[in-house]
Amino acid sequence: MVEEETKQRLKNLLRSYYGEIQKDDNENLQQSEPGILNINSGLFDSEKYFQKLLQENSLSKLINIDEEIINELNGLDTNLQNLVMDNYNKFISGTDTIRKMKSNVENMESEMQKLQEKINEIEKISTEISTNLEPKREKIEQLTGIHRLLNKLQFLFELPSRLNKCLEFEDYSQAANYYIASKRVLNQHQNLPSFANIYNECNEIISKLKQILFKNITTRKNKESAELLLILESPLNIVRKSFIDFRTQQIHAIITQFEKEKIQEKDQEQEDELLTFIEKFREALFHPLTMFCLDFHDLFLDESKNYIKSTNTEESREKLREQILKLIDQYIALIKPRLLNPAVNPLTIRTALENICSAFSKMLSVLSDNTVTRYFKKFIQQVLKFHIGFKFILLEKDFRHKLNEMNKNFISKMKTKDDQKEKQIKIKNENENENENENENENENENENEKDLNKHNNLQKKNPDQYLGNVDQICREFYQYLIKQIKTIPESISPFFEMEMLTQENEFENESVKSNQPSLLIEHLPKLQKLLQIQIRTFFTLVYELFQTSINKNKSNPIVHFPVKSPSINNQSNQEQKSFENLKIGGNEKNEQNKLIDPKKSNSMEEIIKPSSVSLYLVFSKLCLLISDKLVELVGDFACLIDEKGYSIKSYISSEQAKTKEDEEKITKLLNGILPSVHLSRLISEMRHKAKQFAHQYVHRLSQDVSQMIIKSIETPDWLNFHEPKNIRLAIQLVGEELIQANSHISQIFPQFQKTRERRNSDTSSWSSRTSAMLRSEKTFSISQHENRQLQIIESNIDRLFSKKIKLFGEVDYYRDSIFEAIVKNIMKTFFETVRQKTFGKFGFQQIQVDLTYLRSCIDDLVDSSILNPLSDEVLTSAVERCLEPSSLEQVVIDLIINEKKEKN
Amino acid sequence: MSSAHTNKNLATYTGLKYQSTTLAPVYDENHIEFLIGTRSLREENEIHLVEYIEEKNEIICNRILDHKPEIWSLSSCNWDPSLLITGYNTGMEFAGSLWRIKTQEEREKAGDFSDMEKLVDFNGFNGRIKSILFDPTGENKEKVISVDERSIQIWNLNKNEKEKEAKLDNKINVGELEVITASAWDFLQPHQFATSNESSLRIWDLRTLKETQEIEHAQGGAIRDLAFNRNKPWHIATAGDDFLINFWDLRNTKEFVYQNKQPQALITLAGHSHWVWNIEFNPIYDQLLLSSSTDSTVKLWNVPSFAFELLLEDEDESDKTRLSRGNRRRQKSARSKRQGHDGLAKSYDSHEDSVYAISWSPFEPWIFASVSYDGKLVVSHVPEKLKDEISLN
Repeated sequence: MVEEETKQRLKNLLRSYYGEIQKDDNENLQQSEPGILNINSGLFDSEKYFQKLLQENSLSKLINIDEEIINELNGLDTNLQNLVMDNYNKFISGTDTIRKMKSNVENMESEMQKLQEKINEIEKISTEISTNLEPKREKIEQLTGIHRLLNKLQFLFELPSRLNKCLEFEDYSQAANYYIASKRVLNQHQNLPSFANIYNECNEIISKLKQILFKNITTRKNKESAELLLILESPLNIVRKSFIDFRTQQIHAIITQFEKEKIQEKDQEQEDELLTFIEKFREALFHPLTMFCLDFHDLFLDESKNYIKSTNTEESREKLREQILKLIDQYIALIKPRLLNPAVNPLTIRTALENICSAFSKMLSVLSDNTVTRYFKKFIQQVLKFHIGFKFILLEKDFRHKLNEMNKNFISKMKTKDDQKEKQIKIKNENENENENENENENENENENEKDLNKHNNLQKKNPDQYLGNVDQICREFYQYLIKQIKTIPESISPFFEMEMLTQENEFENESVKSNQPSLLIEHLPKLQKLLQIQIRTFFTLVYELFQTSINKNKSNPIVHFPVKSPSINNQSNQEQKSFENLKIGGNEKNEQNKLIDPKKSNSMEEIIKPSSVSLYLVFSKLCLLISDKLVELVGDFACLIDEKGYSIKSYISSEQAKTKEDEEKITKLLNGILPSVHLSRLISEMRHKAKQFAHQYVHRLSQDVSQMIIKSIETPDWLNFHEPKNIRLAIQLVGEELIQANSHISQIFPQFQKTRERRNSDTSSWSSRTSAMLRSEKTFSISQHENRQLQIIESNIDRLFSKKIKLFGEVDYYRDSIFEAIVKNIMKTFFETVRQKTFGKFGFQQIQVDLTYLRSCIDDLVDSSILNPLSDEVLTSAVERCLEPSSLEQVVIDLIINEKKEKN
Repeated sequence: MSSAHTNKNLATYTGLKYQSTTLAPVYDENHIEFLIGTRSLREENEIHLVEYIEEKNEIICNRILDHKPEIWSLSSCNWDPSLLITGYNTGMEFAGSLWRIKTQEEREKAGDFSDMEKLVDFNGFNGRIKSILFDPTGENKEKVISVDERSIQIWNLNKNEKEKEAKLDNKINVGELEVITASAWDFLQPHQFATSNESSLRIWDLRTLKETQEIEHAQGGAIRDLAFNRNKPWHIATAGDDFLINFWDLRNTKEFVYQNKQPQALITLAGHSHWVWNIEFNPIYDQLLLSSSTDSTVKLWNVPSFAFELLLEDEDESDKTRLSRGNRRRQKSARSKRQGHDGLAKSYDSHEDSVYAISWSPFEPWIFASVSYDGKLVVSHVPEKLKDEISLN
C-alpha cells in the first residue's frame, strides 16, 4: 500500500511538474469532499475523515481501518528513520573531508613563495649574459656577411672557368643562366680592375657562346639557341632574322623538293597523283610551317617574357606575316597550276582544297593573322572561281566555235551559190545585150544561152537542195549541242556546292575526321553562288549578243574576221592562262570576251568569211526562241546547286505533265528567289525580244537584198525600146528562186500558222487593192478613149475606197506564213514603187506582165491570195499607168512562156 | 497663230484627177499657197494652185494651170511668186521649162486662154529629171541648176531670150556608172551643191565644178533625198531606201566618219517602215524635220541636237547682238531645245498611198503640206504642244 501511495505521490509530483496539477486541483475542488477525505491528498482533514469514518462504518470495520492506519504509520516511521540515518552518514563523511583539506592548504603557500624567488634569480642572470654578449654578436654578423660575399666572389672568379666548362659540355643554357645571374654584379663593379678582368673574360666567353649559338641557330637546336640568344640580350632583330632565315630556308627546301617533283611528273599527272601530291606536300610542309609559327610566337611574341618589349612585337608580327606570306606564296605558286588545271575533276579539286584548308586552318589559328587568312581565303576562292568560271569559259568557247562552224557552213554553201549567181547575171547581161543588138539572130543565141542557163540551173538545183535540207538540221544540231553543253555544267561543278550537304552528313557520321575544313569551304559558298549566278546571266546574255555580233559583222563589213579556235591542248592552255589571269585580276572577264569578239585584237587564227546567208537570222531567231523556252529548265538545274528547292523544281520541270502559263510563272518566280542575280524573267524576255528582233532583221535584210535585185532589174533596162517578151528575165527568175528558197528555210524553222489570221487594224500603213477588173478593161484600152479612161480612174479610186485594207508593214509572228508574207509584201511594194518611177513602152509593159506572172506562179501557193492579189494588182496598175501604150499580153501567151520556162527547169 | 482651229490639225484636198509626185510652196507672205503638179503619162496634166485658209481649216483651189506633159519636178521662185520651173516627161524624153503664171486680167486681155507663159526651155537631159532649181538665196536670179540622172547642169536664163532656150553655162557629168538619185543646193553657201549617187553623198563646188567631198554608203540603200540645214552651215541630212534618216556634219574628217569602217552618222532616225522619199528642214525652226515615205506616212521629227542653236552657245555676246530678229527668235528656242531630245514628234497617217512630196509653208512655220501618189493633198500642223515648247521658250 505504502508503495502504491508513494508511487501515486510521485505521479502527482510529476504531474505537477508537467503542469497538470491545476487540473487535479480543479478536480479536487469539485470533489472537495473526497479530496479532504483522501488520506494521501494535501487537503486531508483528519477530523472530517474521522467523523466520516465514524458515520459510515461499522465498528468492526472501524477497528480494521484503525489497524490498517497503525500499520501504515509504523511503516512510515521506519522509512523516515532510514532516511535520516542515511543523510546523517553523508554529513559526517563530508565534515571529515573538509577537515583534511584545511591542513593541506597551509603547506602550499610556502612552496609558492619559494618558486617566485627562483624565477627572479634566473631573470637576473639572463640579462647579465645578454649585456655581456652584445658587442661580439655584431662581429659575428659581419663575419657571416663577409663569408657570403666571399662565396659570391669565388663564384665570380670561377665564373669564366665554369662558363668554359659549360661550353665544353655544351650546356649552353646553364652558361647563360650563370651569366645572367652574375651579370648585374659584374656590370656594377666593372670599374674595379679585378672585376673588370672577370667581366671582360666573361664577356669574351659569352660572345663566344653567342657565336656558337648563332651557329647553332642554323641547326636543329634553333629554337633553344634563339631563346638563349634572346636571354643573353642579343639584338632581337638579328636573332629574329637568323631564326627566320633558317626556318624559311628549311621550309623552302621542302618546297623546292616538291617543285622538282612537279617538273618530273607534270606530263603524266593523274587525278590520284594530284591528291597524293597535295597530301604529301601538305604533310611535309605544314608541320614545319606550323612549328615555325608556334616557335616564332613563343620566341618573339610572348609578352610574358621579359626580353620581349611590346614595341617589338608589332614589328615581329609584321616580319612573320611577311615570311609566311612569302612561303604561302611559294606554296600556292606550286599547287596553283595543278589546281587550276581544268582537266581535273571538280570532286578531286574539292578534296584537295579541303585537305589544304584543314592544314591551313591549324596554322592560321596559330598565327591568328587576318592578312594571311584573307590571302589564303582569296586563293581558295580563286581556285573555286576558276573552276566554275572555266566551265563557262569552256562553254563559251564551244559556243563560239560552234557558231563559227555554223557560219562557215552557211557561207561555204552560199559561196558556191553566189558564184553561180554572178555567172548567171553575166550571162543575163550578155543575153539582153545580144537580144537588143541582134534581134535577127535572136533564136540561135537564145538557144545557146538557154543551154547555158540550164546547166547553171541544174547546178543550182543540186546545191540548194543539199543546202536547203541543212538549215533546220544546223539549227537543231546547234541547239541540242548547246543544251547538252550547258546541261553538263551543273553536274560537273556540283561538288563545289555540295559542301553544305556533306558537312551535315559528316556531323552525324564522323565528326572527328572533318570538323573544320568543310566549314572553311562553306564560307566561300555565298560568293560562289553569286559568281555562278553572274556567270549564268553573262553567258546567256552573251549568247544572243554573239548572235547579233556575228550577224552585224556580216551586215556591216563584207569581210568578217572571226577568231576560230581549234580545240587543241595548246590553245586550251593559252585560254586557261588567259582566264587565269583574268581571275587573278578579278572581274575582268569582260576584257577576255572583248578580245575574243574584237577581231582586231585577236591574234589567233583568223578566217576570212564572206557575208553569210541571211537565213542565219532565222536560225538565230529560232535558237533564241528555243533557248528562251528552255531557260527555266536550264536555270532550274543550276538552282539545284544552291537550294534544295531546286530539286523539286527540276523534277517538276522534267515531268511530262502539261504546264500552264501560271505554272511557268510560278516556277520562274521560285527560281528568281533562289537565283536573284540571274534575273531569269528578264533574261527570258530579253531572249524573246531578241528572237523577234532577229525575225524582223531577217525580213528586213532578205527584203532589202531581193528588193535590190528587183530595183536593178527595173531601173537598168531601156523599157521604151524593149523587145517583145519571150522569156522571163533572169533577175526575176533569181528573185523567184530566192523567195522559194527563203520560204523553204522559213518553213523548216517555223511552223505553218493553222488558225485564221487575226488582222491588226492599227497598222502604220495600209493599202488598198484595186481589182483586176480594171486591168481586164485595160486590154481594150486605147489613148483616144479619153472618157473611158476617166471612168476607169474613177472606178479604180472607188475600188480603192472599198477594197479591204491589208497591212503592209507590221509585227511578225513566229510562223512561216507571217514571216514569208512580210517578205513578199515588202518585195511587191518595192516592185511597184520602182515601176512607178519608170516609163514603159508596149513591150516593156508586157515584159513586166510576164515577170510578175512568173513571180506569182512561184509564190502563189505560199502566200494567202488575199494578200498577194492586191499587191500584184498594184504592180500591174502602176505599170499600166506608167505605160505609153498599155496593151496586155494575152494570158495564153504568158502561160505559154511560163510553162515553157517551168518545163525547162 | 491663234490656235482656235488648228486643233483640227489637217485639211485635205482631193481635187487632183491624176497621180501626183510634185509639190512646191508659193512664196507669198499673205497666203498659204502651194502648187501641185500631176504626173499622168497619157493624160493632159495640170498644176493646181491651192490655198490653205487657216481660219476655216480648208483648202481651196485658186487656179488650175494646164501643163500637158506629166510633171516630174516642180519648183517655185522665192522672189517672184508668178515664176515656176517644171521638169516633165513627154513620153519619149525629159525636158524643162520656166513659166510665168498669167494673171486673170492678162488672160482676158490677150484673149489667149493659156494659163502660163513659157519663158525659157531647158533641153538635153540624160534620163529622168530629178530637179530644176532656182538659186535658193535669190542672189543670182539668172542662175538655174538642173539635175538629172547623169549630170548637174548650170543654166543662164538671161542670154538667149530670143530663142527662148536657156544657155547652158556648165555641166558636170557624174559618169556612166553612176546614177544621181537626189540633190540639194546649200542655202548658206550657194557655191555648194550636194548630190547623192546611189548610196553615196557627194558635195560639189559650183565654182570649180569639182567634187569636194564624198561620204560613201551614207545610207544602207539608195539615198532618196538630201536636205541642207538652212541655219547651220555644213550640216546635211540624208534619207533613203534603208528606211533611215541620217545627219552629217561635213566638217568631220573622213577618219572620224569612217572610224567604224561604216560611215557613222551624227544622228540616225529610225521609224519609217519603207523608203524615205523626202526630207525637209523647217525654214525657221531647223530642229524640225519633215519626212515622207513610201510607207504612206509623213513624220515630223524633233532633232534639237542638230539645230543651229547649239552652235550659238559657243559664240560670244557680240555675235548674238548682231543676230537678226528671226535669229533672235531661234535663239530663244535654244533653251527649250536643250531640254528636248531627238526623236519622232508625230506621225501623220492620213495618206493611203506613198507620199512623194512634202513642203513646209515658207512663211508659216507650223504648217506643211504633203501629197500622196493617189493625188491627195493634206495640209497639217505641228502639234500644239511642240509648237508651244519651241516658240514660247
